[in-house]
Amino acid sequence: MMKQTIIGILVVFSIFLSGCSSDAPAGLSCNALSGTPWTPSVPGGLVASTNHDSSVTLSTETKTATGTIIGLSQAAPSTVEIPIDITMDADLGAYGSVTLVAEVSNYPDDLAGSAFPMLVSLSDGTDEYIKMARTGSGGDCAASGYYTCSSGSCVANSNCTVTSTTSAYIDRAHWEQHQAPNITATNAPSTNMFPTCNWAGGSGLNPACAFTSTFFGGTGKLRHPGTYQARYVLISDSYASVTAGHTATLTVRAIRKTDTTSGGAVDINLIFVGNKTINDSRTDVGQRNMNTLVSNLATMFAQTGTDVKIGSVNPIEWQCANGGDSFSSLKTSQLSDMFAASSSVASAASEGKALNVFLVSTITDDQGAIGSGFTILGFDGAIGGPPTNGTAVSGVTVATFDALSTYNPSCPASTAICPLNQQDADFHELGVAIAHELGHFFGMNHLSELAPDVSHPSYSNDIIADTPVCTATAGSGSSAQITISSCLNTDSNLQPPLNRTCNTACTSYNSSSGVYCPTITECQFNHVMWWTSKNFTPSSGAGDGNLFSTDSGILINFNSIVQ
Amino acid sequence: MNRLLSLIGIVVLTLSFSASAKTDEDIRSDIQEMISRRAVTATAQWWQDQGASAPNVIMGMYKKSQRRLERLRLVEALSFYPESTEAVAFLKSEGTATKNSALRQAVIRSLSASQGIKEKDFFAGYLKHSDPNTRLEAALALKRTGDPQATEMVEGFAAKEKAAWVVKSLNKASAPRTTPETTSKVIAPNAHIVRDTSDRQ
Repeated sequence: MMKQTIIGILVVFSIFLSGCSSDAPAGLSCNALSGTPWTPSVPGGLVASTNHDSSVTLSTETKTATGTIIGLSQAAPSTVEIPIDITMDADLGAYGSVTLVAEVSNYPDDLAGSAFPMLVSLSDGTDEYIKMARTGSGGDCAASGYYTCSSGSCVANSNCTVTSTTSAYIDRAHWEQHQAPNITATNAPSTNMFPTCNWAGGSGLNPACAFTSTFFGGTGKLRHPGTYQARYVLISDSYASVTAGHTATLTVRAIRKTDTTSGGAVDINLIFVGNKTINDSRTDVGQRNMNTLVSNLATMFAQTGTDVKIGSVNPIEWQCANGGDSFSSLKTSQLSDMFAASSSVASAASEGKALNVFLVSTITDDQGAIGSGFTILGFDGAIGGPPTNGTAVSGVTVATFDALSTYNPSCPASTAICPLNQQDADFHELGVAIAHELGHFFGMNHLSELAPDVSHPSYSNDIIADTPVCTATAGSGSSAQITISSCLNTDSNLQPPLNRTCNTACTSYNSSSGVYCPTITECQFNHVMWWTSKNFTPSSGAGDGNLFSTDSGILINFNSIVQ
Repeated sequence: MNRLLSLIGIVVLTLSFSASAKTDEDIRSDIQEMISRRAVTATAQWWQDQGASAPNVIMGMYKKSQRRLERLRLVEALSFYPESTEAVAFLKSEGTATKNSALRQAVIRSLSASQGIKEKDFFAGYLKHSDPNTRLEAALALKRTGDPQATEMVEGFAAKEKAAWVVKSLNKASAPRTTPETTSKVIAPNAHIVRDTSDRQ
């Protein structure tokens, strides 16, 4: 009797537990899940764990130090800089790199916000890589701080710049992207990967690579053996000036990647956010569409010149029961919280080897000052993101518009991978958007853009030598922007290697008639990192190109996540 | 003679007006370019400057478009024309008819921005919707009005809402992100970086 009672209690308890399981309906609190979780199936070897590069090895050195916190517009003399020595004894090879991920902890309780751990100098013992203006004169960074503040709004100190084109970062804006990747996030790490380039050629808006010309010393790889010294400043994100005595802990992880051959693969954590997106991915159509999406993505990365394949795709269902639904209709103000959750959502084993791609229903900009906030297709945590989970910038996100189970209706359900001429334009753009955001995470900028803010007063370019430059705009005044039409019809920049304009190289373009020139490298809009939407004609499967240039591939290959 | 001068004046005025006013096709083209960007950067003034026929042009574009992102952005663009009764009626009709949660939420946001308290009852009607994100968006729209009666509705909704994350998101919506919990101990923040974020889109 006693035994039966215990068994009865256990049965009741197990029913109770199963009622709490994440797959069970839970009244109004979570919509029920149905169907079978998606298992990736992409033929043709584009996605395979064997795509990884066996020559890659990683070693990590972690350093901690305590340093002074200064305000945004406070003078930053060398006495507030925190020196961090990094051992660089090994030959990292022609495709090797060192990535410095810096985080701040033990931030003072009496200060709001957090601090940006900004890398202001890196020396390999022979060359200074960054060359910020730090002499302490002329109102530079050391004399007057890294920002200028007025009525609480802070912009880049115009005298605190990168002083030479022979720098790892061509200008202040490109440097700052890596030091303060998300200005509204708390505790976002800075991520700096070196080399930032390795290519011949370059001029004007895409200048010569400082590593190739100088820093490699003619060896084609980072100098060794020796000790590199990095210097950081901790800059508060919430004060123009901070009173003396406030300190925090700086932790720097130096990830050395040894790689002697090109190529390799990146793993992807595909995270379905919320029960609606999960259910969509579990339908037959949803599973076919997911396989097609991964195939599209893998094809874009594996193209000639880039040669980066996808190793494994790890589907992860971030269910309502575990908090996924709260991020499914994502607001930009939630980005950092969602990315930070990656440490609990993704497996620890995937850290440093897989990129987190969060598939949400929609993304809305609730931090801009424009009306109700416009919908966004995709967003990247950081340009040059950290190879770590759990930070405010650990991933990228794209919007599915709740259509994973309805995209591509003209594609028969039995089709394994929908051909291009049976893909919706929106669906095709979803794959491009993922590739584009991953490109950002790998450290790439838009090829050209006009960013209407004080940090980017004029043109901002990707600095990659073999990508085209476009400076022609459509519209006037503040609404003047680079468009497909302006780059095609009015831009006069001659593009390498044939010194042709986009217009000369692409003579018959007519998107209304479905005529494109997708392989013409001279046209910016044929590149994955083009900054606006692209044209695509579903009936023919033709559209603007999705190219990664050869030099873009070199940059991707340096990343420690590519193994 | 006076009549002739008047006629000439009218002709000149008409011609100059015709030369400066945008045609519907011009408006369509400019808006199409704007909503094709990765980040829509146009100000409220830019949308207003498109002219009186812009709401009708936008609604026409919406009906023709098959692209999801475009349709959402067109719905959002209508928020810049609060005086357009046609736009309001169109938004309410689309919001009611659609089965797509993303579109429904965009309609609520758009009406919230353009009409605010005037559409209180429309928002309140979605507080019992089966889609939790729709319920949340409606509650946020009501909360933004600051109206006492709307606030009461939101409080009643929060008390009954079964999805804890909806209530949490609703409560969090009013809290400034940079205010730390230990406010009494903290020196008031006084500065922040101003920078565009469209380079990450």
